[in-house]
Amino acid sequence: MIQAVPDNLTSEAMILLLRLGIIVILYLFLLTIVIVIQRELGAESAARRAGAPRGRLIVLDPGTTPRSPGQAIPLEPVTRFGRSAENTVVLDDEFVSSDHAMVLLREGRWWVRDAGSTNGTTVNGQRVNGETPLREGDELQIGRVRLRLSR
Amino acid sequence: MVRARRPLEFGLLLYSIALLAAGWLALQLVRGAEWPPGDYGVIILFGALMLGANLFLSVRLGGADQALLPIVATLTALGLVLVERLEPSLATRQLLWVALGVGVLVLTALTLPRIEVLARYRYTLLIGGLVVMTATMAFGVDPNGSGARLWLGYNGFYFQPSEIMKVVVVIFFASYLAEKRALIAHSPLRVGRLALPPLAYLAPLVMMWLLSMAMLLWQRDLGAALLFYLVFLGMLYASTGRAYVGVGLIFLVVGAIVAYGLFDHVQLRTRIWLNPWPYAAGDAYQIVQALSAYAAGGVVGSGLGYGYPDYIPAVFTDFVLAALGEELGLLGTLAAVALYLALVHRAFRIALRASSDFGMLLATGLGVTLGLQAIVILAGTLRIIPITGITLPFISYGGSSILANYLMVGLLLRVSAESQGVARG
Repeated sequence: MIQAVPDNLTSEAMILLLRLGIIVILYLFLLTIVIVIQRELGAESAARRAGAPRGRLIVLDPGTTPRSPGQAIPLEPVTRFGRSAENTVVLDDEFVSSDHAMVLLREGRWWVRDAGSTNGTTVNGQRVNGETPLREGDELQIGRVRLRLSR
Repeated sequence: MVRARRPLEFGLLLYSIALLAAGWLALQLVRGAEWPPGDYGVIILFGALMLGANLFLSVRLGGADQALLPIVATLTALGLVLVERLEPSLATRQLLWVALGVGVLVLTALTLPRIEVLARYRYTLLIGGLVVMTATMAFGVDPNGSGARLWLGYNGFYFQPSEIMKVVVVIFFASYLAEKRALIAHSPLRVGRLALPPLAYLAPLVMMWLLSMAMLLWQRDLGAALLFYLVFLGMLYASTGRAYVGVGLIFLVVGAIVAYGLFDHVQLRTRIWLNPWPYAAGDAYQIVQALSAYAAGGVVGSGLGYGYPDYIPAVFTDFVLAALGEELGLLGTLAAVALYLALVHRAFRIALRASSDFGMLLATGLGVTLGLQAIVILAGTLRIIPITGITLPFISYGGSSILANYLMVGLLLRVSAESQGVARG
């Protein structure tokens, strides 16, 4: 009988501790998530600041677009090319599809992806199927517009 | 080497396992077991399940979002504790559904060759979904007396097709809207000063509206009808970035007025929403009990096992948050709300970093679906909006809902794995 009292006490104390534990665990978890998100946001804005002027395309042949040879088009981490107004870079050439191609920055390298265009995209004369890496000095052709990647 | 590939997920998952352990042990002690209690089976199984998923994802999907699964696991742990508290006979079954759900998640995340495969089969998926929905309208049963015949099944094993249908609808519209994105620009259709969406958007808008109304008419499923329609509206906004949502909302208001005029149960729910007190012993019994439960809980709650949430009908499915509010208090409820907020944040972050329009719209649609479900039932049990029967994602008891929600997380992880690492400008 006397033995039962401390047992009961441990049980009561444990219940209280576990009740507290549930709330503490929940909020510690949420705090960790907030810290994770904060770090991600910091890393992303730093990457954006550092990575701003990393590449541009020089117009070699503007096709029937109103651009002039030698003009520089700065690249964003994702740059979409095409004739429709939705694109990052609008190329109003009759051989360019409405959504023609995109240039992506991934792991510090540039890639070209054809977006299902009618007349295709080429890098140094090679037709792009799926994705092709784009190096400095490479010649990119979208419709009749010819561009060269430079820093 | 493998473990190091998703260390954040591994660490965060330990929290959810600790949460389940604390809740589970507390329940056993409250029921009179002596310290130390003997039953650790559920905790070990849950831990093995989640850490196993972490290992599988490490092997093939190293780059996918690492916070998503732990958020879901924490919600699941809360759900398991609450089901064990409210309906112990169903706890093992719930764990079985979670195990199947994690299986579906791992399979979706690992075996799908590319997420675009889903876009290619969108009509097959949609027709399959519609056939099953029609079958439910014709042969559906109501095994738990909820007043709506929403289940297909046989001999104690029931399945709710509208849960899978919501995933199918999101996949279909993500693919459809991604394809039609180029068409947007300017619409020639106008009514007075109001610009109508181009036909490519107007047609599915009307179709979704009709589908939602059909669900109301034949199945009296107010919650699912509302969810389907709002999810489509959210995806339309993400796709066009335009206020066609205005037209959509006008449709919604018209639908609500029509539904109010046609259906008794809609009128009833509106009436008990505006003033439940005269009907507290009858039609409004459930919502009044839920409100008392929240009130009884206060800020810190009565403690797990010390409240009286059993007075609320359907407390372990649709009204589970009221039990959480009573026993874990405002602190617990706010934590649950914050978890849903974090879940939606992860989904939208995945959407912003997706490498294709389809992936972006898919992740947006899935995020909106999960978030809206939580909001609709949460606000319903708090009498902020009229109550509509919908499950609280990952917490409510319910096999089809757990499976469908884990499938959605699997798809989100898949989109995340294919992302390009940099958010869209």
